[in-house]
Amino acid sequence: MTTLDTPNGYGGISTEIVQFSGHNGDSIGGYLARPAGPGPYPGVIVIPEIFGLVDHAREMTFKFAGHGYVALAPDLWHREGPGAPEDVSAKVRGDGGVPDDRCIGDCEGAATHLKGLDYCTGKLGVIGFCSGGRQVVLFSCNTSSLSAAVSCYGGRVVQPELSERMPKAPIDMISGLQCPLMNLSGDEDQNPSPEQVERLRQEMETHGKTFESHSYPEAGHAFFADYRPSYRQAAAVEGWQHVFEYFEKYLS
Amino acid sequence: MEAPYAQKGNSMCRFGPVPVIEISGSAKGAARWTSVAQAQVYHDHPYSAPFEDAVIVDLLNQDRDASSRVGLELSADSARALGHALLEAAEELTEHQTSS
Repeated sequence: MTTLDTPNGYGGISTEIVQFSGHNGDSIGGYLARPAGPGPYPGVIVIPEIFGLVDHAREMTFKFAGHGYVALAPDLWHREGPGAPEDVSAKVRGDGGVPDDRCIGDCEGAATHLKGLDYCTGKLGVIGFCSGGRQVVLFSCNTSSLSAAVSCYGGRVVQPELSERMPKAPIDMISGLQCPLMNLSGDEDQNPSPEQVERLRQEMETHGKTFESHSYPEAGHAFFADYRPSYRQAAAVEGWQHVFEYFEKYLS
Repeated sequence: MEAPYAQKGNSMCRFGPVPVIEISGSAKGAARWTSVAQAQVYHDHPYSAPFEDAVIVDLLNQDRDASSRVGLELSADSARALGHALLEAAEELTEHQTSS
């Protein structure tokens, strides 16, 4: 683990709202949390669940900052505001979701922002949850900015449906993946189902990509979401261990 | 009514645009009344209701301002009961209007 600023391994964090250039050069917002020390620290892009930058998403950035990472959660819903995050994201959801090309551009903007910070090493990972888990695979297959990616219960990576906003299934982009990918999901989830995760594993193998996957018993979708009844304590504890071991391995 | 806490996580993320129902009326959120012109009804993860999945009703104004949103997150039984009650009330109102 990255050295923090107390002998007992925990340190202070600070947070701020940042603005950076996203897709098409649009200025978008993001929520950044960083360890209190001088660094430099590796960076993690945190792609929230479908509800946007609600408390839970911002708390995820706190967790990474507390573990020695500069965490930036891009506001992929920035353009549809103003409004409370859950209202803005509901509107986007009703309109068919965040367009894939815009998501890739906004995440690349977040990566560029992190790389420009003097307290960031420039070595970057990405993690995302629920729809953000799908967006992790999407972004990872369309960038050279990452050293590791973690998709948590990413639905529709193996996507039977396509739309104007999501015209290509992420699993059909795997040839473009340039970093290791880890999948975390629950045995009882149907989105992704264990069969869909296996399909992803096969596709990664076909393209010679580095892949690791963990599935947790008695857990379904969104087992990290501790503000919802989908939360599963045992899966979450083990899952966080896998996440931090993975990022330590690839981002140190 | 079904148990509020489902045992298994079989949530399905919503995919694709939700059809818009044109409506006419007002709705009150926590802060104020607002005119509403559009409704969208679908099922997905709720943000606040204690279910893994819920029927969601979003009401928005004519300009689809996110800040105008009045949202409902309901269990399937609740949504069904509410739907029946809405239909009944609408029928009674129409009857009253045609008889007066």
